[in-house]
Amino acid sequence: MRVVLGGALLLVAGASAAGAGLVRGTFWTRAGWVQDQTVPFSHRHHSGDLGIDCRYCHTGAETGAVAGLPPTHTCMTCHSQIWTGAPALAPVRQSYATGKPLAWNRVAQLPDYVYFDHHVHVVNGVACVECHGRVDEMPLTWRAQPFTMDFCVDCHRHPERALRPPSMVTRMDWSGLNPNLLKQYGIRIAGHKGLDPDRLTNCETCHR
Amino acid sequence: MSLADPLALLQERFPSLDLRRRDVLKTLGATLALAGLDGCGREADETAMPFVEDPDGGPGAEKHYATAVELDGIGQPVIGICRDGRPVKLEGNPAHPASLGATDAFTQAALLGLYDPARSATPLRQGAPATWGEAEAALFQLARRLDEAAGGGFHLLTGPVGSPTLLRQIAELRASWPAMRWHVHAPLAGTVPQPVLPLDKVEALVALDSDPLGAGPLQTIHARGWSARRRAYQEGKGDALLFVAEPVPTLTGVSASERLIARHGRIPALLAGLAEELDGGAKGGTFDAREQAWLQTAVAELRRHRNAALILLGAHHPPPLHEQVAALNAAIAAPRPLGFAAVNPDAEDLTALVAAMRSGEAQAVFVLDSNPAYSAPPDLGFRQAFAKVPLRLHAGPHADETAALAHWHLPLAHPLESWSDVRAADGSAGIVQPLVRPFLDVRSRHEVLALLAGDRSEARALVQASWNATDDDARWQDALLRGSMKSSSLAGEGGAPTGADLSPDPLPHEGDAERGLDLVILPDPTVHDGQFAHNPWLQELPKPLTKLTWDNAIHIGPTLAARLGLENERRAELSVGQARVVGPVWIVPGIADETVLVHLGYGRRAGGQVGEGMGFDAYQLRSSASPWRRAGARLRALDGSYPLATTQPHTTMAGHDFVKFVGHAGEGVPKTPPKPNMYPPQPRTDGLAWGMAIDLDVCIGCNACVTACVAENNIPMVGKDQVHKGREMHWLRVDHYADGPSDDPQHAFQPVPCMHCEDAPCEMGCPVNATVHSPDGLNLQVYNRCIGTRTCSAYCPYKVRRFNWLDYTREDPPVLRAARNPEVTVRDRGVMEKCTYCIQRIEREKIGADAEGRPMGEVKTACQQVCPTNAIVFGNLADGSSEVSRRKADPRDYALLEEANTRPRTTYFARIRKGRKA
Repeated sequence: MRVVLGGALLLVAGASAAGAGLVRGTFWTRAGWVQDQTVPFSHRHHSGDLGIDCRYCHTGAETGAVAGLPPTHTCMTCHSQIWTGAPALAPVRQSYATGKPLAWNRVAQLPDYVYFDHHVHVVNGVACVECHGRVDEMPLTWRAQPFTMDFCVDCHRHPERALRPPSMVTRMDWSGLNPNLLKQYGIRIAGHKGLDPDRLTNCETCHR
Repeated sequence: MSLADPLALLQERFPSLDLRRRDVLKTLGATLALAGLDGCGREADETAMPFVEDPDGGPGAEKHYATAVELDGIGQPVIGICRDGRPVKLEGNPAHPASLGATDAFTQAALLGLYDPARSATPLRQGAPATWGEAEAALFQLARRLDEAAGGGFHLLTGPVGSPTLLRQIAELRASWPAMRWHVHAPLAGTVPQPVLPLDKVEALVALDSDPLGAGPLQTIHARGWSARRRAYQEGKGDALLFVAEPVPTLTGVSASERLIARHGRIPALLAGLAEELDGGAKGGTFDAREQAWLQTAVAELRRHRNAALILLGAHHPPPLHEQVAALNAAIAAPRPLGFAAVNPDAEDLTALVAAMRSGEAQAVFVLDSNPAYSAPPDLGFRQAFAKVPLRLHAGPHADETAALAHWHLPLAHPLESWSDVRAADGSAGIVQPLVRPFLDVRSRHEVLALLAGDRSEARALVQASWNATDDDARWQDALLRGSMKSSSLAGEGGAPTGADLSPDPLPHEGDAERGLDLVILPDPTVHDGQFAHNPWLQELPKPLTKLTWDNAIHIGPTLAARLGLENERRAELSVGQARVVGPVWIVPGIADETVLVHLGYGRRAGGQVGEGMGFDAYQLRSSASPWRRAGARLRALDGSYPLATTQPHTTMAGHDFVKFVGHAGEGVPKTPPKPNMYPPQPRTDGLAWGMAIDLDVCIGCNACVTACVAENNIPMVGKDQVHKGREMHWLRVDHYADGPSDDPQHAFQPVPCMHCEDAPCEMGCPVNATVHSPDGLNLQVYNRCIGTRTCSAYCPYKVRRFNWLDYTREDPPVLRAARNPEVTVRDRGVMEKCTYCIQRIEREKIGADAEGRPMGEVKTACQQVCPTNAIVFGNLADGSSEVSRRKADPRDYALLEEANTRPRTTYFARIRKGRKA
């Protein structure tokens, strides 16, 4: 009897642990899982090799609630001149010709009950790399961070850790800079802007 | 029934369940297995589809356009808010003098009208789908024939026309076809044009059976003026007196300082009494004590306020009485009307059309955006006569009752997706510009009329032609930006009255029960003349004085109900002459003796599933000679009852003082010292404390706030059955109380949103912290935490929390999803929701301030923004200079259910009984 009870308890505990592991695991959060796309767009090539600024395509990044995916028109500003016949770009040309949007598989996705405003993060100096990772090293894009509440709240509790000079937000590689200096900068700027964790962790900051 | 037999118990409680032992066990097993998994799951893949060409401003940007929607030919100026190309909200145009930022409930709900899934989407020939090409061919063919006959035999029937372009098009048609005839069918028009009144200048207003504050195209401008006067009185500048004599309670009547319940037949006598007293002549009339007292005070105040007093008479009264009123107004030097609501003096009426159809003169009838088959008085015999016409065309937004009788039905575009122009209530012209391209195969009414003239122009060109404008024209661009044309106001002259020549009703003799009852017919406060019967926001909007939804009813006073042995929801037959309708009875305190009130707009037979079959058709009770009041009606109780869905079953405060009163301006309500409580202190932000103040003295119960809240906050409509179960979802309700003697009560309205209590019982009750307090004083509701125990609602003394009993949104067709505000979560089944003080607007301002490094500016909630009387004000209580702080310093300020000690952030101002200084 005791064995049976113990076994049952173990089973429940194991199931709970497995469940928690699953929900926190990358299968669930998709962190690190490459998203396949109709057009094999490479951030490594465009952003990393060519050095195109993030905001050339994601125009709403510092001005709007959503950073936005580029309209087909933006792709065609270059690809009407170069790689004009490339088979990989056929869906882009087709979209431009027919006026039907390209369908991308979303990489950065938040639940519908979360209201995330992109521009307030960027203008306050949260660098792109904090949430999106080393996009300049991604041939196909993947989600760099688990976009869980944990992840968001962690930063809202310690905003100083992610704050950088707004003029440098698109910088991908911060390894060469003195981490102490960056930390000092973050603490000062958070204080200056009144980015108080008590305020940033209110429910209404993200949920409405 | 014993607990030993759970299956039988279940069977009894849920008779619709087919219960077998095995099924129950299977269900239990499945429930257990699925219980843990509910709500979990890897998020689904999502496709992101960027534009091919970005719109101006980039994705997600909000765009505002100044435009207007039309009600009964009168423009309601609005700012249309679009997100990603979808109109998501209409707000009053603050720069327009006829709106000053406010709108009525109809205008708010016009947004849903755009997305109505029942809208007509394709031309119909004999009821079968056809193409516009075929329709064009038919129209051109008709035009050729008319060219030969100079328009002979052709009749155009419209509703009241206020659009200058439409008037120009009709005039041009008539110029080229001199023999054609134009008719206007205005089911809600009286015998005289409705004056637009400068109520802000009127310190003593006497309204005889007239409802200037009631629902209709002039409600916003009148409510603006009246409340401006009332507020001046509150501040000690002059008086704001309102004397009303009326047979049934109206919004004007229940706002009156002196309301006299007078049967319809007493109105001419009261007018005569006013005339005599003002002339100081002999008192010929015989009045009872109440009438005498009312008359004496009214006359004294009219005299005292020479130059600032006005007498009004309901537009349905016969012209001779109006002449008498005009003479009296001249005698007291009353302020002149600002203008008159759309009148088309050169059009004939529906009676002339029916005569032409009967005689066979009418060879082709084109019904443009009007529905006479539903709304014509039955004694006119429109349907029979229309069926005789060889060619019958109908153009309208719905395939309605008239479309069903027509050879051709042409779908018209919604005002929010087409070019047009209008005149607003103040007479100024404005351009109606589309917020979105039509997503159905529809055309604008201008395009359809132009097709008839053989012209394939687009609506924009047609409108520009009227104004002699081009796209680059500075005047045109300015009009598009501001929503009104410069120097386009009309002079204050009105046209000749339209409508049949009426003879006054014979005066009823008091107490003569044998003669029958007075029947009062009014447009419905929420579905109007029936044109909004397919709009769920308006169907579910509780009617101001009865709080009924989804139905009309036969309304009588308590005395008559007792005499006839009728109770609420009892089926009854109401007949007058040959006409009869059957409907449920609903007792309304404050209706005159021997008087029955019914509302138009229900009993729709076509046009969409939402409205069809709801209520009864009161148009059946009209006669063309007397469309608004009929004598000699009979009411007979039938067996059985018909359930009505009301959101407020009680009408009295039952000894409480939810709505407080003071006698005169300047008086305050007694203050009670703060009581101790055991709540832990809430965290606070320095310099930010949100609060709201609602002035019950100027609330007219018009429901604009409720509709605006629905539009802003994605509030689902639940349908009559659910409302009947008390499951309506409105975050903001307007309570109505009628206290005092049941035959002549004192009415009052009280809008009740979430109180955002500083010591909120709901927060104590929630087991999962789904409702918590923010440091700036908001009582938050976090949907993704809520597990639906409903404890918070049980703890809430104000009963403002709403629970999603069912999944009200997931089955919505895509077109309705497009109407939703993307800034607000669409709530799922099983979560609690409530007023958030429009947190999305607060957050937007907060984010904007954070991003730009500036202090927060002003935030307006949707209900505040729309309120035509400025009764609602919201803002930062920590800022002593804010409007809300200023107002809360008023001695009339009080908290609802103060004894509950919840310290609500929403507080009220007591209503002032009188309208003059003590």
